[in-house]
Formats: sequence, structure tokens, C-alpha cells
Amino acid sequence: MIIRNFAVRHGRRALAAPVPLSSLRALSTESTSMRTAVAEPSTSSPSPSAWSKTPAKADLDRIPENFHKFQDYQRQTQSLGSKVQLRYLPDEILKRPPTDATLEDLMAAQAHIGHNTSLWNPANARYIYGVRSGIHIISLETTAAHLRRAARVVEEVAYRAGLILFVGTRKGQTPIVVRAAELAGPTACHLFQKWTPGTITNRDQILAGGILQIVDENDRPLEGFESHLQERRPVVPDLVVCLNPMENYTMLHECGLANIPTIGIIDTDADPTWVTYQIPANDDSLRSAALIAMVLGKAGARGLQRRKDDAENGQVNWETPRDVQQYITVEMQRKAAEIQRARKEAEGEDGKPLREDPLDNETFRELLEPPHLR
Amino acid sequence: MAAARSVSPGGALLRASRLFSLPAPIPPPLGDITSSAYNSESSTQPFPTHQVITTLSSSRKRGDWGLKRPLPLKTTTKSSTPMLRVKQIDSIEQITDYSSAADHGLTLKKFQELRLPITAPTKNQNGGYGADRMNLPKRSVFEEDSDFTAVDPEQQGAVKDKRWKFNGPWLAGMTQGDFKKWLAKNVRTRRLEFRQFLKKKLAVEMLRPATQKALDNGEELPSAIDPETISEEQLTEYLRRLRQNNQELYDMVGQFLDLAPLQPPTMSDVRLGLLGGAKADLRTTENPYADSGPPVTHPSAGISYLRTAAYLDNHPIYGPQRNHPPQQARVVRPRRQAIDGKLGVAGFVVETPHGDNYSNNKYNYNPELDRLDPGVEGGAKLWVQPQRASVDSTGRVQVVVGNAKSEDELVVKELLGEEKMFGEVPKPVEEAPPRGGYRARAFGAAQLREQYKNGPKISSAQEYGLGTISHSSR
Repeated sequence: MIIRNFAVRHGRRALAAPVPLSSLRALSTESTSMRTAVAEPSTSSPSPSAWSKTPAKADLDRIPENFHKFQDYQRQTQSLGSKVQLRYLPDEILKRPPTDATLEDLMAAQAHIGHNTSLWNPANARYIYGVRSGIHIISLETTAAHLRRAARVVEEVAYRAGLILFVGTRKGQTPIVVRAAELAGPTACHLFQKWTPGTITNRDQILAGGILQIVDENDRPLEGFESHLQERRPVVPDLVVCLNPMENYTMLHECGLANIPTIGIIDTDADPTWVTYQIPANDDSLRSAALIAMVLGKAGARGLQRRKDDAENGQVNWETPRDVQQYITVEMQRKAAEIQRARKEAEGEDGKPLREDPLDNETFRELLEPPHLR
Repeated sequence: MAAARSVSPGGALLRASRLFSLPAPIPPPLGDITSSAYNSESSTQPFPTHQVITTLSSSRKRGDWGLKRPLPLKTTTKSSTPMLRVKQIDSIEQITDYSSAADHGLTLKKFQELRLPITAPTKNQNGGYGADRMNLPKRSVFEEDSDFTAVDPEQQGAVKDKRWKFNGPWLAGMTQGDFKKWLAKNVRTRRLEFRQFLKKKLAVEMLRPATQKALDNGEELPSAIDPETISEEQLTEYLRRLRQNNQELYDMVGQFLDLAPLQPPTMSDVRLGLLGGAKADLRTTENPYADSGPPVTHPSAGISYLRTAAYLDNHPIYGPQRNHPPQQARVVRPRRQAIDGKLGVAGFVVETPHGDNYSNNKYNYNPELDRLDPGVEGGAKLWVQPQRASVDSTGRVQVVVGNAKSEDELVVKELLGEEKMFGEVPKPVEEAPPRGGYRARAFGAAQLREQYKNGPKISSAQEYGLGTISHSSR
């Protein structure tokens, strides 16, 4: 500090209050009586030192006042300075899932770290960017592109109200698959335990007794299908998203047999032909699996939202399954025949209808011909 | 620029990533072949070979260390010093190969608390064993006149006494097999190049008398000789001359191969006939690394970046202190007759203070240093004054300590609360008035401590009044 500018800079404040003793000592050149060297400790020293003096009563009385001043000062200055932000919260990805994964997100989530070079599957050569410290590095651009493609698939399946199954059977993947299925709406399910072999190929036995419903475009259950539901086979998913294909070969094989499309995270040691839509990425890291599952779950949420918006406008985008359609046709014909017969019976006695024609009734016609079939 | 343009966005990101910026491991220190008894695989290595990594506590709870997979929580969450070294990100067994690196990480922290700068070794003037132990002034390894690696090839010879990095090997540190391999691979292939190099040198030398003469007579300097014009016969003659002069030949070869400097044999070696009759007319070198070889890393080894210890420590009450605060050292091995003791300071084993000082006084028996007392919990400790540190050519950190002054020791103990402050008046113990009630009086912590101050109370016959009966019966 330049001493000659002291008064100019701090003039008003420095001169208003009496100069504190400490700064006087710093400015003076004469020697003080302060001890600077360490002397032999002598307990016989009679004078009590400054640091063990008991404070005077006047000082004690000023403590509340000073404390309030300090609090005022803090209040005035608390909005100043920079704000420290938390940049990374491990839980954030599940709480606020991202819509899309940027290259930076993928890299931060360790999606590029492949396996030891000796463990590679040469079919993955096209996804591999290079070798670094003994491991393969997966190209981030490829991962991002494949993830976007898979997200489109999930979105369209959700838009057509397809059943999406999220599978992650590794330790720690439970909250990830649960959250992804929660995002993708009522037509999504999750699996975090062992896949029971035959759940698709032998579903008549394994899934027997499961509850089935016929719903309308607003996901409200429809009545009048009880006899059809009794003879209907259990459902299979329309899309399977697998976070760890290496441990779920049986499931993927069953999906292949049943022509169910699959999406899987393919690490450098996995066989990319096991799944329909590959996402080349690190399947060991929970962060990587969470990022990919959340992006797919969010895509499912987008598709669901589009479907709901269309349903509000009376637009239905799915095709009713052929057997259900057939059941509806047969049932309509049966009911129409019944009505005809009843009308004829009523006409047969006096040639005049006894009551009004049921087919003229608007609600009855609606029941026979639902709007999405018109 | 060209490299930056050709990299894809993902590639550029990867290059800047933390995982990719982990340095490659350096070769491990050579085991001490001479003392096979002390070889231990689990002992702390003399210097770290892998980068130490750590992670945030929130990520550590999830096992997230930024690696291929989450690390096992059982082994990584319990430590209060979360430091790891990763040997393999993914091994063939599909696991991440890691181990705790708290040994080196804590040693670094402790060493940095000493606030010692790393000093360069000085030229061993006497050539004797203990010359480096003398308290001669030392210089930091970061001084500009010795800390440089980018040297113009033409200037290499001029600064060979100050450099610490050389392209060629230090011949004295090579085994015979290594030397032969190096000769076959790196030297034989450069024969033609060496002849060209010699021709250039010869051209300069041939011109020297003419130049000198021109300078003497004040004439115009002769034009330089083109090395290409020197014939093979002239060169062969020059080579013959060189072979008669060991020093000059070594200078030429050393300059050509950029060999690390070698200290010539001492006179005692010559007298003892250890050299097999070789001539001892070699010039000594001034390079401080000639005795034991150049360092494997930068001479500071990255353990301290301080340039000097010439600063004052301030004490809040006593003011500026003459010495830095002394440190507590553990006696690792007590002193015995002529054998030096060993102390442990900040994670390094150091020798007991040398020279003429208090602890080396012949008539002064030093119980901590001279006697091994297994009864002392944690081992005997004493206060020492760290003086300087350097890294030797094998990468080991050598710390030199002196005796701590008793005044400095006292000041540190006062700050630690082990001694009463100078002139401190003990606070009068106020007797707290009883707060009322049976429980408050009987079970207060202060009362309980007071009650058991002299050990547990055991009831006796007198307490039951039996003693008085026996007295009265007597």
C-alpha cells in the first residue's frame, strides 16, 4: 500500500474513527516493547500477559451491538460475489432425464470406455474409434447417432401404444429401468431380475392367469370383451430395450424367435447381431446405462404425449389387432341379427313395430361401431 | 493446427478428457539386488509410478471413479484417504485393476507440509563419501541456469556441465549386456554419420593454425574449409591421432551420441590398479550428475515446486521466528557405535543429524537415539529440523535433517497444546453451584470425574462400622 495515498483512499473512514493501535504500531518506526524473540519460559513472570487479560465490562456490553452490526453487514453483502454452483449431481440424471445425449454427456457418462483389446468382438470394429491404454475406445459420434435412431424407434412404438419392456438385470440397474419404464408411460414395463426362460416362447404356461384388458385410445378399459379375453393368449412386448445383452442372451433369442425388435447396449465384447438396434456404448458403467436408458425413456414419454394429444382430437394411430377386429365384427353381426329377429317377431303379430327401432338409437350405434373403427 | 483440424468432434473431446490425460506409468524402480533379504512386494515403492486419482464423496458412495465400471464399495468407501492408482482400466479378467495409492498420496501431502524446496546436487569437490553431507549452500533445481531441456544441438557441448537431460545413456550405469545391445542397435548404424561429424570437426581444426596466424598478423581471416573436400586418408590420419588421446576421443563420441557425463576414476582407483593399467589423464567433469548418473525424471521429481526456503515464519505472539518449525521424527533404528541411526520424517527415512552438534556429543547420552525402548507406544520420537531435500539419480528422495533447537521445539509444542503458553495464567476453576435435585448432583460428569479421580472406591470393613467394633473390643 502506498502510504501517501492512504488518506485520499480511506480518508473519511480512517479519520472518523480513532486510529487503531495495531496500525499505529505498523506505521511507526521506533522500536516497540513487543517481544519478538522466544525466551526461556519462566513461570515466575509476574505480569499477566495481554492474551490472558479478562475483558473490561464496557467491552462486554458492546458485544450485542457489535453482533447486530456484523449481522447487518452480512445481510448487505450477502448478494455480492460469485455464486458457487454444483455442476454434477449423481442423482440428477434420474430426476431430470435429458431429452438427448450430447457428445459431452456421453463422454462424461463413460460411454466411450470399451473392454480390454483382447476381449473384443471383431463385428464391433465399425464402432471402435481406437485403442488407448489397453482398452478399446468407442466412437462417441457413432454412439450418439445410434442412440438417436433407437430413441426414434422407442418414440414411434410408444406413439402406436406398443408395449415396451426395459431390461437391466445387473446390480444397480434397478432404479434405472424402473425410472425409464415410468417415463415411457402405462404401456412400458421393466425387468430387473432374471428373465424366466420361455416367458415369450412358452407364455401360455408361464404367463397364464395374467390379467388382460382391452382399452380404448384413452387407455380406459372397454367392456364387452370378456369372452374374447378368456381365449386370448398372453401379450408379448412390442419392443425390448436391454441394458446388458451379455447376460440376457436367452431373452434376446426368444425375442428373435417371436419377431420382437430389440434395442441393446453393445460393448466391444458383445455380439451386435443379438439385438436389432445396437447402441455401441459401455454397458458396465451405471452412469452410461442410466444416460442411455433415460434418453430412451424420455423418447417413450414424447411418443406417449403425442398419442395422448391425438386421442384428445379423436385421432387413433394404432391398428386394432386382427383377432380383436374379427371378434368385434362377429359380435356386431350377431347383435344385429338378434335385433333383426326381435324386430321381426314384434312385426309378425300386427304388422306394426311395438317400439322404436333400436338401430335408430345413437348410443346403441356408437356401441356397435366404435369411433376408431369408423 | 493440421492435427486439430483432422480430429472429429468426439476425438477432440476425448483428447481433452481426464481419462486420456492420465500419464502413462513410468518404469518401476529397480529392486535392490544386493540386499535380497529386504525385498518386499508390499512395501511402499521409493517413488510412485502411476498417477494417483481420487473422486468426490457423492460419486465415491456410488463407486463412480470415472472408470470403466463402478469400483467395489467394500474396498473403496471405507478409507479416509480415497486415493487409488489404476493399473489397468479393464483387464483380461474383465475387472478394473486398482490398488490404494494413499501411501504415496499421503507422503506427498506430508512432504509438502515440510515446505522444503528440492535442491540440486552439488559437484562432489572432494570426491569423498560424505562431501554432500556438508552444509554448503545449495541451489534450487528450478534455477534457470540449470533447469532446461530444450537445447540447440550446436550448443549441447557448451552446456554439458549444467544439463540434467541427455539423449544418450549414462555408460557407467549400464550392464554389459545392455551396453552390447545398445552398441549394436544405436551406435553401429551411425558409423557413416560419425565420419561426417568428424570431417566437420577436422575442417575446423585444420583451419585453426591459419586463422590464428591471420589474427596475429592482422590479416583477413581465411575462408572455411568445406568438409566434403577432406579426403578419406586425411580422416583416417585424424582418427589415428584421436585414438592416442582418450579424452579428446571421448569428447567427440560423447558429443556425437549426447552421452551423459562420466566422472573419471579417482587417483586412488588408479593406484589400486582397479583400472587395468588404463591411463588416468582424463579431465574431471563439473556436471553434478556425473557421479551417480542423471535423474530419471526432472530433478525435482514433481514432489515440491518451491524455489527457496528463505522465508520467515511468523508466530502470533512471539513474532517472526528465526527457524522454521521443527518436525517430529520417529526413531526407526537407534544409533549403535559407529552406525548411524535412522529416523522417519514425513514418510521418508532419513539419517540422524551429522556433524558437530548436540546429538552427536560424545558425552551426551541421547536416550531416544541410542537405545531401543520397546515400551514406548508408537516408538520413540524426537524433534528435528528438516534442512534440505534432493532427489537422487535413482528417483529416491533424500531428506537431510538437523537437530531442532529447544526454543523452536517449545514454540511448536505450545502451539500444539502440549506445553503451557509462556506467561499463561491458569484459569481459576469455578465451582458450579448445584442445580438442584438428586440426579443433577449425583450423576453430573464433573462430579463423577471428581469421585473417581483417585480410582474406584472399594468398601471396607471400617465403612460398615466393623473397624470401630474391633477397636473397642481391643
